Amino acid sequence: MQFQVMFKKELLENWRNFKWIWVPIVFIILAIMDPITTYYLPRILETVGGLPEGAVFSIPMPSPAEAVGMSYAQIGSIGVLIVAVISMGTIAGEIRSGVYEMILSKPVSYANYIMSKFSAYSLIILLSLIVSMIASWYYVSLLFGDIAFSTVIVSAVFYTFYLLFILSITVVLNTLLKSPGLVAFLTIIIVIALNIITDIFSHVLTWSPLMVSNHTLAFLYDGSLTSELIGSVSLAIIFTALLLVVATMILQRRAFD
Amino acid sequence: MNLTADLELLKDLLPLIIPLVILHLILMTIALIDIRKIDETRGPKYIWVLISIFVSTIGPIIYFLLGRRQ
Repeated sequence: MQFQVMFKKELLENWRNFKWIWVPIVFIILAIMDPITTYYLPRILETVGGLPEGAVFSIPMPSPAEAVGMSYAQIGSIGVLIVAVISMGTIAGEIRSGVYEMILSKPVSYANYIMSKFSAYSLIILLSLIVSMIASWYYVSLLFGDIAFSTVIVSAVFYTFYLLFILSITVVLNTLLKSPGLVAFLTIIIVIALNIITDIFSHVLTWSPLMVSNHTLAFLYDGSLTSELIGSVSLAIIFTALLLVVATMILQRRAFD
Repeated sequence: MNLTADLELLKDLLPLIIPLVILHLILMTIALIDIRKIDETRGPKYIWVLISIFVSTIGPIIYFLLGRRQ
């Protein structure tokens, strides 16, 4: 009951600042930009570029699965940045402006407070990812050839857990820091650091939550559910849950001093 | 360059570009509505209006990320 009220407040707030509209649109643009430019690059060069007469070069056309992979590459870099930036002030900003004390002066549990925020942003991320992958599927099947709609949607669901893991990192940092800008900055630094570590030890850490993106691409290419994909997605979910518990505990500790 | 090749390319690109243009217009419109509704932006409002209109696609995004004062 209490959760529902707070969850609705978050949804309303994200509606008022248009996050429900602009985040999906930005994701769609990210997802379709690369397939389109790759497809038309040879012809654009031909028409625009001052290439010497008779210059022949062939740019290999990616397969449909590789083209969808390009969408994920964009979302994996700029999309992650956007996830960090939209959620950077969700708690830190409220602590700073005093809204936090106003809410917590009512009998509201910290867990509900964190969960309402996390769920509201999760919904935006899920919606954005699904919508953008539908757009990507549409363009790729127009330009590059057939790819199963179900494969793309299932891969998007897997990928969502990767983004939710990043969202939970942002939530924890939100409870620790007061400056929203610092939260976004540190989130990006942590994601980059984790990525480097996972890349270096990629033969050992096959179940690392950050490998979800790699395994999702493998799933796109051959459509087989590997144990690595299931493992890394499960670990991503577990880590997300743990980080949310940590965030709740940090807020409780903060209340005492 | 020959004009027919240009026109040909444009004709092929058009069905792909129109959705992008629509998305861009939606972004611009909601940014302008928001600038109108909001009490105060970070920095003068008219600058954000100019950025949202003239910096295509990225302008409204930058406004939503940086221009809103919470």
